[in-house]
Amino acid sequence: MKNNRFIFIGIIAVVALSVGILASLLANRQVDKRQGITSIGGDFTLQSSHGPVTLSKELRGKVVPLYFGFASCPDVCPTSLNILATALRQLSEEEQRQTQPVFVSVDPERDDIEKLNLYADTFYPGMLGLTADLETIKEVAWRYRAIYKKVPLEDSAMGYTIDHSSIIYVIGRDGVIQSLAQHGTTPAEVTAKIKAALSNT
Amino acid sequence: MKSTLENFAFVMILSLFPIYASGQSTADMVDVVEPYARASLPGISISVAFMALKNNSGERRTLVAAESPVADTVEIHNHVMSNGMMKMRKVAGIDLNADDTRLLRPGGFHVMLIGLKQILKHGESFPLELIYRDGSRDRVKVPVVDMNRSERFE
Repeated sequence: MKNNRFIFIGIIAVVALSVGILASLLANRQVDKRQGITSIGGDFTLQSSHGPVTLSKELRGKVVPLYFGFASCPDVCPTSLNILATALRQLSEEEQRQTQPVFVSVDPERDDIEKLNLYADTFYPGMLGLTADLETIKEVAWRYRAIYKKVPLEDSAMGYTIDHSSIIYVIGRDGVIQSLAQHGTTPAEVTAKIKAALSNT
Repeated sequence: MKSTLENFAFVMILSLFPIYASGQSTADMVDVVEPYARASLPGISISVAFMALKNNSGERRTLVAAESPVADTVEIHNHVMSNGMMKMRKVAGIDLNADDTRLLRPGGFHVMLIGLKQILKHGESFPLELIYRDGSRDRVKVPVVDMNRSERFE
């Protein structure tokens, strides 16, 4: 009887210990995950057709869904921007006023800012089309972990294309990234992420 | 439950199809289903066309090229996601498997219209000629749609 009780207590202790270790592992993982997001991104100043736009100035207080791409991207960028635009249209008018979507071109050689403004506006009225010199774009993209690479297409009339990551960054009112919507996301998912950022920050 | 004889007959009849089908040109044997092109974007001289290609023949057929009077160059491209990047590349052709439907859809295979000679407006349409490996051609009418209004996300 006594032996059995010790074994029982022993089992309880082992189970409790494992649960504790597992919980702390999970908690750490969650913390790491958030640190992973908040450590990327940050302030930037890029050019629009109306002059420079700085995240911490002109866009402060707004939730900023941001996408890196290029205007002559025939399929992936329009698809993603259309998903973003559809997501934005699901927001209430008040929520839309508090949200400023941004398209950043990583192809300033082909995309001048006048063209970008028209381009972005086609998807969603008021969407900003921003770019900068190659060095600035490279630096901002690096901080956002947006990857892109100019690739010559020797057999194609396109001349060159840009391989690029396809992510919608949802930046909170405080300028800190709240969440990411990966390539293949849906408008409903993006709407939910924007709403969460609107109420969290 | 079919009898063995019936099954045998069925297989025999099926086996005749490739022989019959191989006499038909690809343009005759492939249905172009619901083609559409995206309306052009301001200042952008490229666009893209999508469709489904239904191969009704019992053998593999291949789309190798396309032409259209609305663009300087028409190419067939594919997208692949690799190392976290979407990579668009020109392809030599699209294989259409026997009795199968191949989708040309956003994020995958598509027909690239490069150097547009005119603005592609929602509601209009233009001719596109699909060229198959056997040299046969299929001329289809491609409606232009504004993606804001019509695009599906699946």
